[in-house]
Amino acid sequence: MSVRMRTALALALVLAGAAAYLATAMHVDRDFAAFLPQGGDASQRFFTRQLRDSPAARLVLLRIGGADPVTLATASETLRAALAADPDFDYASNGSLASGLADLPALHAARYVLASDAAAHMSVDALREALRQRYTALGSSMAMLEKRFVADDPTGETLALLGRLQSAASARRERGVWFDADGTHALLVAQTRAPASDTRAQHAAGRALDAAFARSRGVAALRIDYSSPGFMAAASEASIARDAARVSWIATLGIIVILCIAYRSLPIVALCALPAAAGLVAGLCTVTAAFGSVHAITIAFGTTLIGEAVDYPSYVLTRLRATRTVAAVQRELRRPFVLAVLTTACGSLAFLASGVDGLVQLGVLTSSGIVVSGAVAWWIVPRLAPLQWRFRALASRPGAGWPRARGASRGAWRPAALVAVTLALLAVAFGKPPWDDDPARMSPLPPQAIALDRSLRSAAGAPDASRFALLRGTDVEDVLQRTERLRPTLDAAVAAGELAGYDDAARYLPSAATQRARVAALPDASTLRERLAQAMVGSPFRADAFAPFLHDVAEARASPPLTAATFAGTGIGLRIATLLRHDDGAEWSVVPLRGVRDPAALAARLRGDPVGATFVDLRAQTAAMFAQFRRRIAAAIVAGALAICVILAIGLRSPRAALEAVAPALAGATWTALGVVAFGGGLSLFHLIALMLVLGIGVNYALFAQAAADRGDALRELVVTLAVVSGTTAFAFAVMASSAIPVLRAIGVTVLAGTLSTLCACALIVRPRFPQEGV
Amino acid sequence: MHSRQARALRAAALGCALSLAACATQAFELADLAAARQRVAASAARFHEIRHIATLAAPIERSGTLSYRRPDHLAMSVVTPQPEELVIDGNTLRVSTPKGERTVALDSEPALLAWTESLRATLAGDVTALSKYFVPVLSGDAGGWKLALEPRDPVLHAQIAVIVIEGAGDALRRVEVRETGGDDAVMDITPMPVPAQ
Repeated sequence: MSVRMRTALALALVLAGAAAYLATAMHVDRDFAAFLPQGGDASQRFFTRQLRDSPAARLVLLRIGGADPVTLATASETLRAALAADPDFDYASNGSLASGLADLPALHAARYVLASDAAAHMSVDALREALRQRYTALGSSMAMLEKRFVADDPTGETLALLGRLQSAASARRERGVWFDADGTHALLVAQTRAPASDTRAQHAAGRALDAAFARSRGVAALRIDYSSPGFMAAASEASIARDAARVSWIATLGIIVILCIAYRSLPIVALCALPAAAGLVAGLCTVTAAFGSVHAITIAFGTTLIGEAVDYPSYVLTRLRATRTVAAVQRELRRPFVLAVLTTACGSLAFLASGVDGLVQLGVLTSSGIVVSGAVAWWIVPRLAPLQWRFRALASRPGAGWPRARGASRGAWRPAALVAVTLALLAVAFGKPPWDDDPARMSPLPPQAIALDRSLRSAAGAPDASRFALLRGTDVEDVLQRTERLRPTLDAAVAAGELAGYDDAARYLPSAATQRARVAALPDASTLRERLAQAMVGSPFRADAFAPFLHDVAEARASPPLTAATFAGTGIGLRIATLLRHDDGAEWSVVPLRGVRDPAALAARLRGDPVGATFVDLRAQTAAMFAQFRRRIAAAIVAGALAICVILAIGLRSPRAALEAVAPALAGATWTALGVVAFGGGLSLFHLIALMLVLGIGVNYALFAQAAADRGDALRELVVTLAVVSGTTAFAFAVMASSAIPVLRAIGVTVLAGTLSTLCACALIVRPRFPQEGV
Repeated sequence: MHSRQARALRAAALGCALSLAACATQAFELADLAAARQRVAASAARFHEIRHIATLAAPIERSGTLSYRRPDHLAMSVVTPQPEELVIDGNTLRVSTPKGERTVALDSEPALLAWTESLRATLAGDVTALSKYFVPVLSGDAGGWKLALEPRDPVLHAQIAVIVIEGAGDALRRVEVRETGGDDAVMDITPMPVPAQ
């Protein structure tokens, strides 16, 4: 067996073993919490954990258009019934009576504790008026709707409750169902059973919805639009996956073509991919062994950073000539190669100090992966390369092509050029916001999707998916009482125009104290019988007609307070379950806010309320988390750059040489960062991750350029090497920069601009250190 | 042989003709009622309804006018006990009272839909629509018929036991709604000329 065969076999075995380990042990974590800094206040932690299950995030808003209102109302009702019966949905409503009917028995049974003013309806005068109204109703054409509750509910609590709870959404009602303000679309709301973060289930629910609509629409011209945070998340993930797949195919194909042109050998091209692949596998194994799971974002960012290793074989291969052996080339390249690997590995270790789980993982993944990539590129790739293969001959004299040695007066303009470019960019960037932490701008969804969501939300009067008041209590009773005590404050805020409305758990489940107070206010059996008898003097009703009413009121007075379990399996039970949450040993009450117009005033008002409510603005909070995350990455980059400088100073044994090696990368990264601020609307954390890659790559370019200059290679040789390594990088990230997905575009543009500007900076900075004769 | 066969055939043919004639005079089919109603483009009537409701000591009397226009327009104008206008068009029911107006999508309220369809589908001669919600049983003859409609939907059946419509020829005379709980409503109908549009 030849050395090549043995090496190949051993490598295949190791990779297979690692793959088997990953297949059994690696768990991909999609919980964004791993990327959030530890600490924060209790409400922040609550939402971090509950993000996936936020009740409003499961709410789907639908509208049907494209026909006359009568057809739309029919289609709305058919679709509502289909969704209500669909296992993917917990709940569907269009404001119709039928959609409330399922809850009617539960509402009816609980009417004397849910109605806030039932006792007030039981004075003699109020009863007399109620009986008069009931009699009128019995003589009307709609008697059928009302009469089932006449005997046991003459004061009309059940139907009033149904109307009040159903009007939580403030849509206009037409032909019995919700319509938008101009009456052109029927509106519905539904709630998916799966949490918003379960993108696969959200996708399935979307398909079920489409199928239900296709079955129920009848008229071909009907159109449906719908939106929900869950569907939007599923759509973003799908579009990211689609675009990432497209980018990686085109980029891979382009890299293969470039390498084929450079090397004219398919085995060599295949070998170029080996170090990066081995590094990624090794990095994943290390993280899995250390943490038990790998976060999906860690994998994505880590793959980007390890991508640098695609260049490693090229540094060696482009120097293999007919006159040079592998051993000879490696002897020449040992120092820059080792430093190239070490700088990236140590630079990435700076992430370890970030204190954020996901970033620590990223540091471990990148540094271990880069070290393994380097080892494979150095020791394995040359052994696997076909023995006779050599890079094409380049006819050039040693030392040819370099500009004059440093110190020559003709080169004095070069530092000036560096400074001038930096100052020019600084001037354009000056005064512009340096950071971009708005998560919305990172959304991969087309603007139409976001506009649709906004218009559906305002048409249906649905709560903002991202704004809540949050209350914390020791037990359910405590948190329900706090929820009730918060109401005057919220009502005042509504009156002041700070928000349009709110919903809360106590609407559906009053605190036991309130329940007790309400039933205690009800007249006792003999009082009520007496009042009713007085009210019935001269009434058309039979004397014993309201025996069921007397019985039910007496029973309500004697019954223990209702609990959430009373409503299990009903729409009301679902509302309670989504608004009352148990988490981390405490009970939480989520109060969705609708139409928040003045968040600052509302937050101040809530802070001033002794009940202890927190105003949660999920979007602002996510932006704050992004900012915190971004700050830690920025700190890691600074620390990484310092580590790189130290390693270079030690490895090159000369601060001056170290400065020469690090300056082009720093200049390139600085120019790119300034460019993004000047023309791109600020640096996001994705730009920063990409800048980390720019630093790693840039130091490599300078190290190899410096080594070539010091060796006295012809400039053309260096140019060919850099053309191959930067050509593949620039192509791959140019494809990424063309993506419609903001995150991919941010990374692509940054690395592309960073690579090109680092090359320019290299050309300005790196000078040969020996006296030479010129061209 | 030949003449005996001919005699037998003649006898058979006569028998058939007689029995057909007998059928024609005796049976009045749902299809006949439907065909008769389908020839009516519009009709109008006065009505007088008596509702017996368990909780009330005395029945409620209601009166007013009804008008129908093919295929699915039905209007009811109530004068007593309180003024009320009902207009049923397609799937929409609009109720106006001096206090205000209310619109309901009929298919969102099964009881209302069934009540509406019992009347409207009978007026339209729409056997398909009738049979969708009810098991129709017709008795009597063209001179005096009775159509019993029993709801198919169990939920509705729990509320309405049967709706009985009586009439003569293509005219409706009486609509009786018997509820499962014992309440009932009997509406007597007197045809009147269709008012000019």
